[in-house]
Amino acid sequence: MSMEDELDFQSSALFNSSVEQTEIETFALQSFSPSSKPPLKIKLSNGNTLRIPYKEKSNNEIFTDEIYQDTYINMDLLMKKAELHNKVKENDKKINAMKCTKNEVKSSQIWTERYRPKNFVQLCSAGNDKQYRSISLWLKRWSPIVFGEEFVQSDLVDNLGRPHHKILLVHGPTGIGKTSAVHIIAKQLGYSIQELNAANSLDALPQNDKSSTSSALKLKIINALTSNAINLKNKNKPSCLIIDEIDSLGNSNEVVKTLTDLIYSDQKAYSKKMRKEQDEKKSKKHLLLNRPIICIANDIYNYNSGKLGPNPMDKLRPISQQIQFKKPMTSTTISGAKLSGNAVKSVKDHLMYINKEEKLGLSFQDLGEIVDICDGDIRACINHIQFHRKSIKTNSIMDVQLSWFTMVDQLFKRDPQLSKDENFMRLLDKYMNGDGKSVSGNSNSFDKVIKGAFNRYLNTVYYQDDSLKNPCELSDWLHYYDQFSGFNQMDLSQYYPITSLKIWSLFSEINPNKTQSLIPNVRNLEYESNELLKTNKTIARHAVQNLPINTQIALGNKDISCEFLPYISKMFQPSISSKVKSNLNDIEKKKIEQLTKLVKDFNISLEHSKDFETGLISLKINPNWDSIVNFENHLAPVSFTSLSKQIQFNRQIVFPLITAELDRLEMIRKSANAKRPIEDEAEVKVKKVKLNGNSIDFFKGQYQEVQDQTTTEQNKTARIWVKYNEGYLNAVRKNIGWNDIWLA
Amino acid sequence: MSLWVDKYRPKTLSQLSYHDSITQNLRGLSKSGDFPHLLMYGPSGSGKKTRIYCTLNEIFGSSIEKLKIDVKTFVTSSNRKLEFNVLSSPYHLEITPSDMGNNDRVVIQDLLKDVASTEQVDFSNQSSKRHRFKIVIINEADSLSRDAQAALRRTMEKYSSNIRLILVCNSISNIIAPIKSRTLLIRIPSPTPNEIGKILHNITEREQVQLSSGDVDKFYERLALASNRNLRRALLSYETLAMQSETINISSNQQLINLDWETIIKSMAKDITTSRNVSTIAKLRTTIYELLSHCIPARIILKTLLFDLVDLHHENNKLVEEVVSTGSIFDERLSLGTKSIFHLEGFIARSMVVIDKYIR
Repeated sequence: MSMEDELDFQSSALFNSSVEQTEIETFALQSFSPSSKPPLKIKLSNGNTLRIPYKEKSNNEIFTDEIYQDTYINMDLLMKKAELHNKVKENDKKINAMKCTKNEVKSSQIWTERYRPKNFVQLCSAGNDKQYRSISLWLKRWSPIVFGEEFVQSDLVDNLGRPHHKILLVHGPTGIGKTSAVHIIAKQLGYSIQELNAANSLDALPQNDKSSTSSALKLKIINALTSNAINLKNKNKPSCLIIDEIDSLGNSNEVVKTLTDLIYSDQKAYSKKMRKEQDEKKSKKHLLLNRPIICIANDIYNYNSGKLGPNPMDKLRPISQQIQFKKPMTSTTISGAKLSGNAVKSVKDHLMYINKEEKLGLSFQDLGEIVDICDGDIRACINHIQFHRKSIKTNSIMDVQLSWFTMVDQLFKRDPQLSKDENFMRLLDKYMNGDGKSVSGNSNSFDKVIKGAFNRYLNTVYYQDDSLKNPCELSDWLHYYDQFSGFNQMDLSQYYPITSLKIWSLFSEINPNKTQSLIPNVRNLEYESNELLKTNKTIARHAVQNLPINTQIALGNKDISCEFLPYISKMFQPSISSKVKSNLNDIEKKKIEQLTKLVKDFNISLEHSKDFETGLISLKINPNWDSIVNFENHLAPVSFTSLSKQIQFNRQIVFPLITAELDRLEMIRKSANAKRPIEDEAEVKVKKVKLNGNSIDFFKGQYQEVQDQTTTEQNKTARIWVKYNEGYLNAVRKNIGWNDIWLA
Repeated sequence: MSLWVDKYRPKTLSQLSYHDSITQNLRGLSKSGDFPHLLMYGPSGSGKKTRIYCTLNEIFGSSIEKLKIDVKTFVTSSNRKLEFNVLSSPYHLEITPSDMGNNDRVVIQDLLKDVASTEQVDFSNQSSKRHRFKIVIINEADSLSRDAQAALRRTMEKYSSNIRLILVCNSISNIIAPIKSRTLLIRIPSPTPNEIGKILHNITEREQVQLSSGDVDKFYERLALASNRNLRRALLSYETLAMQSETINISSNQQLINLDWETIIKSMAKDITTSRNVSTIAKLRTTIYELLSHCIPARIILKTLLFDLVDLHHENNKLVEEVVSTGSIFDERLSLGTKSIFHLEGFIARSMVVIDKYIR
């Protein structure tokens, strides 16, 4: 062997051994996990050194080691960690969100949504506090059956602890927070909300097949009422069905029909339950309502959505408790009493809050004008603020887009710098071509202009010269406008500005003073009177429909509210001396009898009603035509309060007498009915036999009793009426003698 | 049956008490067994409907009184459902087109075609041909739209073998000429105070109403005049009087029953006369709004107000003349337009000017 060889071997052996060694070492490292060692140095044959560090244990491994070593999981620790983690995440989110709002970069959300109230306290009262309270009262009455609370028997709830009206109908003009209020109140009382609205009421319903549509709808509603939400957040909260925009649902007719069906079946089920019948099969069929239903509508009287036929609301109204939301307005009644003085202020406060949040820097006065422009519609106000927030800042909102409100102002103002002609031409140009066209071209907003002017011209004249010449001329022009706006075939809106210019030339002055108006509450007069008119019309129609047909013909259709109802209401105030019937003289007795007849024939019911707020009990006639007949005008012969007192006093005397008389008549009728059956008793028993077939023994037992009464008749082969299939088309009545039965 | 209006309503022609010549004519009409289309007009409460039903009773017998109310459904061209009430007996039906608003044309066409295309078959009375047609009564015919009236005129001729129309309205000024020429016009004037007095007297005896001693006829006359010779109203107010007190004081200084809204309008007229300025107009506006909201039609307000004004100034002929002419101008505006408040206020302002001119 040469030296070279030996060297070669050495090196190779060295190399080999070193490799082996490292292998072993690493193996050892893995298997025995020794404590930290300096990294292994390996000298390679070429002279380089290789460092192999020991494997470091990762955190994870320690963690798992821990688990495996302890053989049980420390849940508490885990939970804490998870919670901490979540909190951090949430905080991050919050911080992010805060950043977003501050930066105004992500303010893409509509303000009406962002400032939608989240809880009851945030609700803008807008003069509807009473209504909010009534809603929560009504919902609260459900709690016995929904939440199993102990319920107190009272006349406000039925025997199962539910309010008498199972449906709540909330109605009022748009944008004053009906939906918000209902949602919040329901949520705060612990319901989860099932909503049905114009958008989803037609979902998942077969579109073409009419019959299955309604059944599917029914299923949907019943499902909404019976199922509890499974959603994690609302776990086990009872549901409350809210049907939004019920008057404008595409299928409102069907919805209302379903609701009436529900109510009907509920009544059946209820009466069954009250009678404690055990008929399992039938009680299954009738569903007992045990969740509240709330319907929201804009207008429950008018049916102007272009559909014809009767208003589905007409059917809904009698089965539901109604709560009317009112537009926020600082209104006074005609007699001068303040109705809802703080309404507008609360709206303004609400807007002020948004104003502060968004740092818009609006004053209360600006907000007041915005409320005026939007006609009390809170949603519109918020939209308005959002849309115009830039221009509001520079305080030039009124010029960006001419509102009807400004236009009215302009009509009563004259620029002292310009001559009358120049002034006129400028306005003419403005309304015909300029920015005023947006108002004068739109019949709706121009209508507001005319109304606004109509509401103001009297004040102006009053301070100018108090002459009647100009008002007369105005009435001609109002006629002109009325004619043109009522013209259906063509759009004549381009002629509208002429009327407004005329108003300007008649009434404009250099310094229009916005002092106290001559007419209190002038702006809302029309709205209020329209609302009242709608209600009264319904009442009058209701009253007529209840009359017997012949009376309807005799009265004609036309003059119900100006002749028939006033007289009838006077008839119901006879002079009666005493509350006790025995104290009355003959004539008075006769009168009471006549009145009772009227009450019966006209389907009138006499009711006690209790006022929510004051707790005063008043006697009312249903249909309640008091609101048609009684006036609270300063020109009325008797003042309203004393009149209503007088009426109440009179009714306290008359009503008990009438009810007593009604009861007496009912008794007479019953006893008249009761007399006959004694003879018919036999007949009833024959029927029973026919039905049972085999109970001859039973019959014989009964026979002994019957025989005593009917022996004489039997001998004469007295005739017995036997009815088959009573009430059906193939009903048969035939004469059967006693003997026929015995011999058969 | 309990209101006197209903109870003492004549059922047959022989029970009718006034307008004897008209009754004679109607009897002749019903005897012939066939009659033309009728157009009954006259002021309210004069007995138009009563006469129609009496005539029908004469022709068809008492089964005309078996009345029922049906709800009919129509589908319009735009596939919308339309429901309205129809009052009917085996021989006739009665509709009020003002219930249907703008769609009265469709209803008139469909309903009449429907009725006319089915011939009346009367098995019990086959020998006579006189029961072959069905009667359709159209109430408030003056509120029919032009379209609907145009639709009527063809139908009247085409189906004249099966159908007879009776149109009832207050004035025929709104009825188009072709319809007037196709119908027999019968005007039923209001009964005279004397005639109303007789009817009231009859009721007094049958109901044993206690009247205080005095000139009874004078009382009846006052009652008749107070209710504008409207028999229906006279009966209603008489019954109310009887109901309110045991014996009715009939001395002439005793107040009759005044309806609140009429009293209000009367004091409005006084206000207009005495204080003719803008603040009165402002005050009266609230009053008008209240009247309107109590379902008093604007035209009735205007009419009552006008007559009250005329009453107040009846000695001044020139003034009355001008006020009436103003009133008629604004009455036209009311019926043409939609915003009644403008016109009522306009009338108040204008009549103030007129009164100003003559009184000062």
